Amino acid sequence: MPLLPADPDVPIAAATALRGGDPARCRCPGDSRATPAPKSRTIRPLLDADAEGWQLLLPTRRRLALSDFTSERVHVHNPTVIETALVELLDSAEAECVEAGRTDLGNRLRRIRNRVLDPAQLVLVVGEPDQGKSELINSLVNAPVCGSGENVSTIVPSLVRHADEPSAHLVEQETTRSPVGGDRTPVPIEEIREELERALGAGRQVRRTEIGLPRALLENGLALMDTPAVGGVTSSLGSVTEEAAAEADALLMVSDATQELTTNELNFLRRVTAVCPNIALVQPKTDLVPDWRHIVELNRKHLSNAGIAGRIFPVSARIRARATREKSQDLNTESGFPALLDHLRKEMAGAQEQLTRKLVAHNVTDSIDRITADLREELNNQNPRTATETLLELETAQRRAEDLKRLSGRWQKTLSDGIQELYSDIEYDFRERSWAVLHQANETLDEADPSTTWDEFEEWLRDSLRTAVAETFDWLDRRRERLTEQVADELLREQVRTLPNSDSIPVPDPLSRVPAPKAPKNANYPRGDQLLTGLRGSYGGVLMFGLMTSMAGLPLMNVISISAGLLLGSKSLNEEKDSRLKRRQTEARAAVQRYVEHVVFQVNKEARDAIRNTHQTLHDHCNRITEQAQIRISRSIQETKRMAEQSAVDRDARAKEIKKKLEELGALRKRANALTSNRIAAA
Amino acid sequence: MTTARENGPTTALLGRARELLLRTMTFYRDDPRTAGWLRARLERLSEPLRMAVTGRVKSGKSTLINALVGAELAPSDPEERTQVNTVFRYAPEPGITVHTPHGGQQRMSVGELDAATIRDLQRWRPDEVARLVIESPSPGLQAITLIETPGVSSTAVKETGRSALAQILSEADAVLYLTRQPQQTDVQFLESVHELGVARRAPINTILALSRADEVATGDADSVEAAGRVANAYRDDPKIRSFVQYVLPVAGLLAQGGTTLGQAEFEALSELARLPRERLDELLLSADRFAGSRTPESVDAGTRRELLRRFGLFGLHRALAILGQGGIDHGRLRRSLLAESRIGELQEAVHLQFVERQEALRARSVLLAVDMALRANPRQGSGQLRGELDRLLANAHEWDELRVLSGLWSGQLSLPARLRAEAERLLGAHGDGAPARLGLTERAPARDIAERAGEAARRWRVLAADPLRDREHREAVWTVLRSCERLLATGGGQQRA
Repeated sequence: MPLLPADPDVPIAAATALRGGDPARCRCPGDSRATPAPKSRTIRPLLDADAEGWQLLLPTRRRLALSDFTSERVHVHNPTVIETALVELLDSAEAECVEAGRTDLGNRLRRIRNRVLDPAQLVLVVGEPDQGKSELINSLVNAPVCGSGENVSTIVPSLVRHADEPSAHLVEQETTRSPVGGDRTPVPIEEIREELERALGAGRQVRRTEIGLPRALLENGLALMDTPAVGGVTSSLGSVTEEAAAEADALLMVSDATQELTTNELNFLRRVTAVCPNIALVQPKTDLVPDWRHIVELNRKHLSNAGIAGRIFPVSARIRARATREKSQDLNTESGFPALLDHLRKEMAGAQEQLTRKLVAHNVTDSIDRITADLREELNNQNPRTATETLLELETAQRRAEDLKRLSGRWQKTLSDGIQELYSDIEYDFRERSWAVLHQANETLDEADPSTTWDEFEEWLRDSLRTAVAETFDWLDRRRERLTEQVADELLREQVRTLPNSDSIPVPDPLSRVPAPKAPKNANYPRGDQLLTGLRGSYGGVLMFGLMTSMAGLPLMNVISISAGLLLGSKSLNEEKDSRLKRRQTEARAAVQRYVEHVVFQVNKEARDAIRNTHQTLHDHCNRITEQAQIRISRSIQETKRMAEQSAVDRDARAKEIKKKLEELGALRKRANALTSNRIAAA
Repeated sequence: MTTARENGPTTALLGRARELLLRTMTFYRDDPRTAGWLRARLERLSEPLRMAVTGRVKSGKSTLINALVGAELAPSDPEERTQVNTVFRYAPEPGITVHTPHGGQQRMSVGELDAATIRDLQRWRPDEVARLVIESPSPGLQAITLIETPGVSSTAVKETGRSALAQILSEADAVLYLTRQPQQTDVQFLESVHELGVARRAPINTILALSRADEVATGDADSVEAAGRVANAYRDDPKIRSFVQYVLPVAGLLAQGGTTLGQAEFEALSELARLPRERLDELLLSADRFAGSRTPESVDAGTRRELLRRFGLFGLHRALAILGQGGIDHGRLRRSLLAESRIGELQEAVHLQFVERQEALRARSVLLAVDMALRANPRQGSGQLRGELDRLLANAHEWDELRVLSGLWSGQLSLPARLRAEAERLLGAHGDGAPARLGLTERAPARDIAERAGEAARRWRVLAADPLRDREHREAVWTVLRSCERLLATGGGQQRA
C-alpha cells in the first residue's frame, strides 16, 4: 500500500511533488492546488514571503502534479472501503467493551470512530510551557498565527487547517465531541488574539480558535492544533490537552534542545502514548546550544527506555526564519524543518490511512486486551477457588458435627454423674442431720417427763427438723447450681453458655404431711389408783410387821406395823410412779423415732423429686442446644452441597460463555492486527 | 534602603529563639542524637549564612553558583548528573571533604580546586557519598555558604537523592530556587519545603530566579528583558507569592562568563568582533555554525568551542555586539556583560533578603530545628517547650514586618510613594528604635514619641478599613498598624531603657 517512499531523506521537492497523488487528498473537499495570494491583509507580507519561499523551494511542484492524477485514480475507492471496515471494527469492539462493562474504553473507541470519519488529520502539538509549541506551528506554516513569546501562554487550543483564504474563527460550546464543529464566529485573522481575549473576558465559552491558511502542507487535510501547556502553574490547562490527545491522530511533543526530557515530560508521554501511539518528539532551539546532538541522543535513549516509539526532530525556528528571508535552501535544510515537514506530509497527512489504521488498531487491540485480561482473570479465578472452598466448608461442617457428638456425650456423663452424686449426698446429708436431732431428743427424753414437757418438746422437735430440712434443701439448691454450671461449661465448647432458667428448689414442708408424734399415754395417774397402789404396798408391810410385833404381844395393828405399812406403801407408790415414767419416756422415744423416720422418708422423697426435676430441666436444656447445633450443621452441609452443585452448573455455563467471548475477542483482535499489517480483507 | 543590621528588628527574636534552642538541648541531654543535632544547629549560628541553590534539572544551578562565587568551581554538564549535595564554603586554604553516608569524613588537601575533580566526585551515587564540602578562599563565599543540590524532577536522580535533597533544604537558612519557567512541579516543591508550621509562618527565605533567561523565548537580544517581564507576572501569581517575594530573571551563563572573563578570551572575542557584520550574523545564526566555521583563522576550533561553552550563543551575541561599539577594554566588557546578565540584581536581592536579614533567617532556622526535634521525639514534658515555641511564633511580628518590607521592595506590594516611605520607616527599614521608626531624632522626648505613634496608628487604622484594597495589601497595612501599636505600647518605655 505505501505509495510514497518511506525514506525521509528524499529531497524535499520530489517528495512534495509526489504528494500530489496522495490518496488521502481525495477526501479533502474543495481541494485547491494553487496557493492563492492573500489580499489586503496586514498579515500579507509574511504570507507572501511564504508563498514565494515555497515556490522557490519547490520549483517542480506544478509540473509533476498532473502526472500524479493517474495514481490518484487507482486508489480512489480504496479508502472508503477501508474506512467502512474500520468503523465496523470499531463498532464491534465498542459493543464488546460496553458488554464487558468497560464504558470508559467504549467511549474512547467512540471518539476514535469520530476521528476516522473526520477527514481532517489532527496533529496535536503538546509540551511543557515555553518550549516553543506555538512558535513551532508558526514556523511550520510560516505565519505568526499562534501567539508566542514571553508572557503569552496558550489558554485555548488553536486549530490551524487548510482554507483557500486566510481566515479565523472562534469556536464556542461544542455540540458534538468531535474536534471539528461547534458554533463558529468569524474574526479578522490579524486580530485573533484580541478577539479571543475579548470573548473570554465577556465570559463566552470559547473552546478553540480556528485558523485557516492556504498552505500546501495543510492541503491534504492535515490540521495542526496548538495546545495549552502541560504542567504549567495553572494545572487545569494541562488536563484539557490530555483530553484532546485522545482524539488526535498524531502528537508532536515539543521539548527544547537545551535540555534532556524531564521525568514529568516522560510521564506525560507515557500517559498520552497510551491513547495516541503516533508520536514524534520535536526539539526546537537547536541554534542555541552546541551540544544539542548529545541531548537528542540522550532523549532517544530515554524514549526507548520508556518503551515509546517515536522519531526525534531537532529544529531551529531561527534558522528557518532566516532561510525564508534569504530564500536559501541550505539554511532551510540546516534548520531541520524539511525533515519534520516531510514527516508530517508522509507519515501524517500522506499516510493518513496508514495512520488511522495504526490508531484504530492500537486502540482496538488495547481495549480488547484489557477486556480479555479481565475475562481471563475471571476464568482463572473461577475453578479452583469454588471447589476447594466447598470441600473446606464440608470438612468444617463435618468436624463440627463430630465435635458436637463428643460434646453431647460429655455433658450427658457430667449430668448423670452429678445427679447420682446428688441423690446419695442429699440422702446422707439429711439422715445425718435427723440423727443429730434424734440424738438430742433422746437425751432430752432421758431427763424430762414427757407428760409434763411434751408440748414444749414437740415444738422444739419440729423446729429442729424444719431447720434441718431447710439446710439440706439449701445445700441441694447450691449443689444444683454448681451442677448446672458444670454442664454449661461443657456446653461452652459449642459457643453457647446459656444457663437453663430453672427456679431454685423450694424448701418443702414435709412435717405438715407427717402425723404429729403421739404424746405418751398414762400421763395422768388418778388418785384412786395411787391409793390402791399405796394400800397394796402398805398391806404387806402392816401384815409382816403386825405378825412380828404380835409375837411380842402387840396387836397386829400397832404403831410399828402401821408405820412400816405406811413406809412400804409409799415406797411401792413411788416405785410405781417411777416405772410409769420410764414407760412413758420409752413410749415417747419410740414416738419420736417413728416421727423422725417418717420425716426422713418424706424429705428424701421431696429431695428426690427435686433432683429428678433438676435432672430433667438440665437434660432438656442441653439437649435443645445440642439439637439446634446439630440442625445448624446439617443445614450448612446441605447448603454447601447444594451450592457446590449449583455453582458447578453456573460455572460451567460461565466458563463456556467466557471461552466463547474470548474466541470472539481473539478474532476481533486478529482483524485489528490485520489492519496494521496492511492485509485487510476488502469488505 | 539601608537596614540597620546590628540593632536590626530581629536581634531580640534571635535571642529568644536561641534561648529556646538551649532549653530544648538541655531537655534532650540524655538523648545524644537529638542533642548533638541541636548542638550542630547552635554552632551554625556563628558560621556564615547557608543558602541552598536548588531548582529544576538543568536550570543552571552550577553556573549560577560559579557566577556568585566568582570562580568556575562547580562543573556544569549537558547531562544532568549531580546526585550529591555539595557545600561551597569559605576557608583560607582550598580543600575538599567527602562525607560518607555513615558519618565518615575524609579531607583532601588540594593545591587548586578544579571543576573536573569536583565533577567526578559529584557523580558518585548518594549511597557512596553523602555530601561534598568544597572549601575555597573565594571572597564571594565569605558572607554566605552555598549548597548545591541535585535537580528537582530529574530523570537521573533516584529516590535516595530526593530524600537527601529534602534534608539539605531543612538545613539551609535560605533557598535560591532556580527554574526556567515556574511550573507545577516547582510550585509543588516550594509547597513541600514550606510544609512545617514554622516555615509557613515565615515564608521569607526563598528567592525564585528565572535562570537561563537568555534562552527564554527565542534567545533574541532582549531575552533577558523579556524574562524580566515574565518574572514580574509570576511574582504576582497568587500561588507563587505565598512562598516567594522575589522573582528575578538572570542569565547565569552570561554572568559566569562575565565574572570569569580571561584575557585570552577577551582577545579571541575582540578578534571575532572585527569580522564584517554580515559574516558575524551568519556565524552567530546557530551554535553549530559558530563552532564549525573557519574564519577568522586566528581563532582555532578549540577556542571557539570553549567560548561557546563558556558564554553560550546569547552571551557571544551580546559580547560581540558590545565589542562592536568599539573602544571597549577588558574591564568594560566584563562590566557590560555582568550588567546584561542581571546578576547584580540577584546579588542585591540575596544581600537585601538574606545577608542583611540573617538574624531573622537564623531565628527561623533555629525555631524550625526546635520544631523538628520536638516533633521527632515527643515525650513527657515536651509540651511546655512546644507551648513556648508557639508563643514565640505567634509573637514573631518581626517576620511579618520583613515580609511586608520585601514585598514593598520587590514590587509585589504597591503603595503610593508617600505611604510606602512611611510604611518602610514604620516597619523598621531605617532603624529599629522607636524614634527612627517614627522619624524623630534620637533624643526625642517620650511624649512626642507617644503622640507620633498615636497619629500613625490612627492614620493606618483608617487605611486598614479601606475596602478597595486586595487581601495582600490589607494584610500589609494591618502589619504596619500592628507595628504602630507596638510602638505605642512599648515605645516610650524602651526609649528610656
